[in-house]
Amino acid sequence: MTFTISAPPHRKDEITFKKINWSKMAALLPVILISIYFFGIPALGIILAGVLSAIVFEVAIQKVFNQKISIADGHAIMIGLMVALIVPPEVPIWIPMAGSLFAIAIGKHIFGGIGSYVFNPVLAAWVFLNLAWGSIMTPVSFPQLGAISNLVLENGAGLLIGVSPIALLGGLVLIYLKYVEWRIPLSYFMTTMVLALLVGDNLSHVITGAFLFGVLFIATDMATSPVTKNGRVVYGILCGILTVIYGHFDNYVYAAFYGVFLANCVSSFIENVTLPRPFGTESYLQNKYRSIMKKIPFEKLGVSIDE
Amino acid sequence: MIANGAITGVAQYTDEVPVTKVTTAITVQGPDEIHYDETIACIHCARCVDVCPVELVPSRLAALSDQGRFDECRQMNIVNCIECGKCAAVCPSKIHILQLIRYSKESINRAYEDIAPKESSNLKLGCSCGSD
Repeated sequence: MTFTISAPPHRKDEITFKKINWSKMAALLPVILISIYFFGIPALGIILAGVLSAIVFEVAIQKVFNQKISIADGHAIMIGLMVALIVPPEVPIWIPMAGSLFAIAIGKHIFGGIGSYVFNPVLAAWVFLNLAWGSIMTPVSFPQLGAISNLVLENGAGLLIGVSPIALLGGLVLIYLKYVEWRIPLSYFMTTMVLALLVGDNLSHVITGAFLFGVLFIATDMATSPVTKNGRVVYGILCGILTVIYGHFDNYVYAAFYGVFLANCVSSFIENVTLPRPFGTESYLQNKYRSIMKKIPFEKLGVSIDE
Repeated sequence: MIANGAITGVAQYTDEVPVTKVTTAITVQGPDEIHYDETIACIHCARCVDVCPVELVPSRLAALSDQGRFDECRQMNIVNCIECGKCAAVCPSKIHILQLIRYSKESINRAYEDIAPKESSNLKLGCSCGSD
C-alpha cells in the first residue's frame, strides 16, 4: 500500500498571508463604515476608487511581467484601501487612483513585490500625493479631542481615517490573535506619549485617528519593520521620537505618517545591528557586567572573595 | 501517510517500513489532514524569530540557504539549530524553512569532510581551480 507523502512539519499553523491581510481589512471595517456615515457618498467613492484601481493596477502589472496573479491574497486590496483612507474626503476621485498606482507600481512592485519593499507602499503613496498635490491634499481641519465623545465620532476630522479613533482599536484584536506583533505598537505608543508630555504638547492633539492608524496598522507592516525582537522595540522607539519631533513643530496627523516613513529608511540597519546573540553565549549586559567587575581591584580594597 | 513524530518526522511512502528501536512514534494522518500549501515569498513577519528556541533568525537562514550562501549561514550560527521545526510550522508563507536549514547544515558538514587531515605533510594548500 502506498501513501501520499509530504515534507515535515506535518502539522502547521492555520495562519496564511491571505488570512493576515483580510483580517487587517476586517479590523478597518468599522472606520470605513463610520467615515461613510460621516462624510457621505464622497467617502464611499474615494474608497471604491482606491480599492478598484489598486486591483486593476496589480493585475495589469502582473500580466505585463508574466507573474502569477495574486489578487486573492488581498495585499493589493489592502494597500488600495489604506491609501483611500488617508486622503481628505474633499479630494477629486482621481487622487486615490493616482495614489494606488504609485503604491502598487512604485511602492510595491519596483522593489520586488510582497515582502521586499523598503518603504511602506501606503506611506510612499501618501508622501507622493502630499508633495505633488499639496493644496488638494491639505485637510480642512486637524482634529483635537475636546470631549470623550470625540473618541467615538470626531467632528474635526480632516482625513477619512481620523473620523473615529475608537473604531481603530480593532487593531488590538489583531494583536490578541497574534496576527500582529505587540512590540512595535507598544513601544511606538509609549514613546510618543512620554515624549509628547515631556516637550509639553497637549495630548488631545496627539491621540488622533491618524496616529492610532499609524501605530496599529502602518508601523506594524511586516516587510518594512525589523524581524529581530530587540530591533522591533528600537524601531518603535525611533518611530515615536520622529513622530514627536515632527508633531511638536507641525501637527501630529502628518507626523505619524512622516515619522514611520523616515523610520522605514533605517529599519534594515536596525535589523542588522540587533541580530540575536547565539544561544548560550553572554548577553550584552552580562558582558558589560563582567568587564566592569574585572576592573574593580577587590584585593587592594581588602575584600576577599570566597572561592 | 505515516510519519515518525508529527513535527519533524519523515513521511513514509509505504507501510512496509520496519519499526526499529529508533522509532519513537507513528502518526497516521488522513488524506484531508495533509497540507497542500504553496510557498510564496517571505513577508518578514518575524513569527519564526519569535518561536525559535535557540535565538536564530530562521527567515534569513532560509533565504541564505536557498541562495547557496552556506558560509554566511555558518557565520549566523546555523549549526546551533536543533531542528525542532517550529519555524516551518508557524510560517504564514509556508516556506520549507526546516528543509532549507537541514540542506545548509548538510552542505557545511560535507565541506569539512573533504578537507584532508592535518597530519599529511605533503598536503599542498591552494586554490581548488589548480593554479597556485
